[in-house]
Amino acid sequence: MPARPAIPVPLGDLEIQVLEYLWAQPEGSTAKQAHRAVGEARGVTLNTVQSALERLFRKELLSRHKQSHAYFYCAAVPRQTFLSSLINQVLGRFGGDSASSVAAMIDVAESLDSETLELLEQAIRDRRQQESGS
Amino acid sequence: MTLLWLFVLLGLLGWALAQAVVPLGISWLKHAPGPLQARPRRILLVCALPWLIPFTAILSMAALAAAKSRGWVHDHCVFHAPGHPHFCFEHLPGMLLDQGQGHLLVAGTTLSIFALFLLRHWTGARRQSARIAALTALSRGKGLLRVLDDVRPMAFATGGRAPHIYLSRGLLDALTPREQRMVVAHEAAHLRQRDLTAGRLLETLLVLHPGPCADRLRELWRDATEVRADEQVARRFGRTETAELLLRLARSMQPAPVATAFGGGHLGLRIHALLQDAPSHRRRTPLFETMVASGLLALMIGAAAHHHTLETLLGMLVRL
Repeated sequence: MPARPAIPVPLGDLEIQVLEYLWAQPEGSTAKQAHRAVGEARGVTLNTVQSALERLFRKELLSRHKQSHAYFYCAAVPRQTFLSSLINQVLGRFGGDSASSVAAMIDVAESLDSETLELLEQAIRDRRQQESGS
Repeated sequence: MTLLWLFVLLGLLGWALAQAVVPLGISWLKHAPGPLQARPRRILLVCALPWLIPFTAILSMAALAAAKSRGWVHDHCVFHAPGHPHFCFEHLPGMLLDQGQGHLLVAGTTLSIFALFLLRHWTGARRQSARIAALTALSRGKGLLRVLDDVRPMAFATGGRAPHIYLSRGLLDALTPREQRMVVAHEAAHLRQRDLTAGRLLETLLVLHPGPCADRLRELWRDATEVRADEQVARRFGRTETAELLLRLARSMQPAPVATAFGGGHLGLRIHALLQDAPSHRRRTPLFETMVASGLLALMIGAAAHHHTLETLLGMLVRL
């Protein structure tokens, strides 16, 4: 089973946008390309985008390699894995922070064994019969 | 400042008393949970006991000391033996314990631990806010409803001032439009009942509870708020249909590898509750709340009446 990546927090708005951009660019991107795609629309400088990339790299969410004089950044964690891990942390699973401020109607961590499922199904069938009989 | 250490020690004694009372409260809530609407409020009340009991004891002693200095009650300080701790704004400086700085050490340690727990809670709350902000940014949709690209069936509501309802793609794909409306109605019921705000308050109150006790209270809270939200859905869509939806969602998940708790754990308990007749909405006497209020009042009067015994006890605590 692969190790569950810990999601470093806090991730700022810009960091998330940069991550989203890099997930959509499987071949990777330079800081300049990321700035054109994300930074210009937000009105931030190339330096700010470079800092965000550096922070994400230090948080082990990006990998990078050098091509001539520029670094090429790639997402080190797939979007699906990142999102699943984030949801688990929000829901307070795997010994994370307690989360009474989250109201979950249904949670995958809460499964029933097949015998209990059968018993509950029988109880519902009985109730349906009572309703149709009355 | 000279009185501070004595009040801190009194607070510590009150907290210890609360640790004996809270399990009784939990036991009461388990066996007689009371009307559906009142359950979460009662759980919050039990959670607040380790705050309320020390506060009541301190308030009682502060009121007594104030009454003495204003001449409303007989001042008997001069009859005390030297070194006897005393809740008195006037004579305390001359009556400090002759025990070195031990009392300051106990009070300082207590305050530091309290501050540390509060800091840990505050840091955790900040971390959770950052995660929720990231989750919202990564979800799809606008407004209250957000969709998460996750194949697991999930539905939950969370957020600070602007809460959202999060539904997973896996859940939406598995449900009919009517069932989707039922899920949204359930989460909307949480928002209407302000369960998220109350949940944050609950976590703050639980700072003063030891781990196992806090976990039991969290479980009770979760059951109470989920059953109440299920009831709102059942009123609109029918009890059996709501129970069927929960069972269907349970079936869509991987079966538990080991037998679940008696009655099927949280989900089983909720389905069982839906298969019972609808609870009556008759107003009942708030017996639980009255008992808690009476207990606190009795503590206040008792602490004031037996303040000498209390002072002796605190003195012994410091000497230990």
